[in-house]
Amino acid sequence: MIRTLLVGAGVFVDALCEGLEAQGHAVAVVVPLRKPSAEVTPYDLDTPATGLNVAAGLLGSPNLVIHVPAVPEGPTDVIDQTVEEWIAACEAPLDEAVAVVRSVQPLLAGRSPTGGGRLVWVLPTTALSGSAGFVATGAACEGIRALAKGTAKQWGADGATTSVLLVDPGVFFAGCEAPLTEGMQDPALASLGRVGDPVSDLAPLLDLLADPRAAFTTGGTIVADGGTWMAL
Amino acid sequence: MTSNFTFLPTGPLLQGRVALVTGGASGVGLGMATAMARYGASVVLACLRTETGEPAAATLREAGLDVRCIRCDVTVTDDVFSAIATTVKEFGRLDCLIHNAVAGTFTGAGPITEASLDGWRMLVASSLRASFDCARAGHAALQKAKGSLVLLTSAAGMEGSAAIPLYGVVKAAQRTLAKGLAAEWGPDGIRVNSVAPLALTK
Repeated sequence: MIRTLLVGAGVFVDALCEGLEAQGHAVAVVVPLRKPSAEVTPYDLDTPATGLNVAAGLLGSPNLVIHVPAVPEGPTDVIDQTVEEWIAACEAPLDEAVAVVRSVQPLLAGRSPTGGGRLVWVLPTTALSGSAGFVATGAACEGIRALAKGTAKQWGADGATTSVLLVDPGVFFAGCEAPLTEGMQDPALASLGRVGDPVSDLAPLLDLLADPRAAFTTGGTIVADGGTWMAL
Repeated sequence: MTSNFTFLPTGPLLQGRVALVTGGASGVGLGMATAMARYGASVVLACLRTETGEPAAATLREAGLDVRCIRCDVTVTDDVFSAIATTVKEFGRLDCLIHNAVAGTFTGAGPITEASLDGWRMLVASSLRASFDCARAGHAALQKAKGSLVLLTSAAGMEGSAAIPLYGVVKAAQRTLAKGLAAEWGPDGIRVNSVAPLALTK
């Protein structure tokens, strides 16, 4: 059985949890402490370690750790952005991602190359390129993509691997009431005609990434958005 | 101007233009500032260490170039706003804002699990928060001049780095920050780009 630690909170994370359980995973959800007004020092980088270690203790040593950072769902122009909004959209997700790497390294590394643990970030496709209104989010997501690569390089000798899974903002922000942004692709016009379902479209892919058959891919980015991004 | 590179254009291409370079007291920043000044631009070296920046500016002035030094700690928001405001006040405009300064590159080096948190904080403050502050502080003047914002990034930000992974993180973030700002500010007539030199300077 695959043991999965899922770090994040919200409707999308709940749906991923449901989907992973449907794939047969034992899942523990770790909800990070996210300060609504982060001010100057957003996170203690080692804070998540406690929760992750408790969850790992209950679950057993995880094969898969998934981190879903919190990023704002609506657009804001940089010149209208407060420092607090900037921190929440850019610096806090990066802090959290670095904290997750630091916390889970002892849990994932040191396994055999064919059965190594895997750390996956799930991000919206706004990470692929900068978008007006999503400057801070795009920066954070691209930073996490570089973190995935740097981590993959450092963990490679231990057989532990990383991946980034990019999904359509329409599914990532499911449950949010704020509209995405004007001009965003109409999912009906995308290649597969929909933004995807966490349970049936994304959880199976995450399950595959945790499988030893996927152990040779590391540091890379997989786009699972039904073609919405390339259709833009 | 004289140059060892015959393919470079010559002449006062930037006459009447004003540029500010953070981290301009030495290394790549000073090199860029010098080149722009040689093309006729008025250049401000915005730097933390005026004991290095002032002599550098004086040397360039002795060579007939219009260069001055303003103290600016890019991790302090007020310093960034003040340096840009002073530049606009003294020169009347700002055509090019180059955020080149970074700190914490090597204190945040090594295994991520052992990286210094102070190094990480310094990287975020000097690269990301400072980019945000430069953008906010420079937007009005750059819009007026139909100018250009340049963020210095790194090859480490392209494919991640095993040796300096956290530096790679903030440099990657800056690259996409530039792309996003370019999209956001295009209608304002401001160009935003990032440059990733392979250079190791102090």
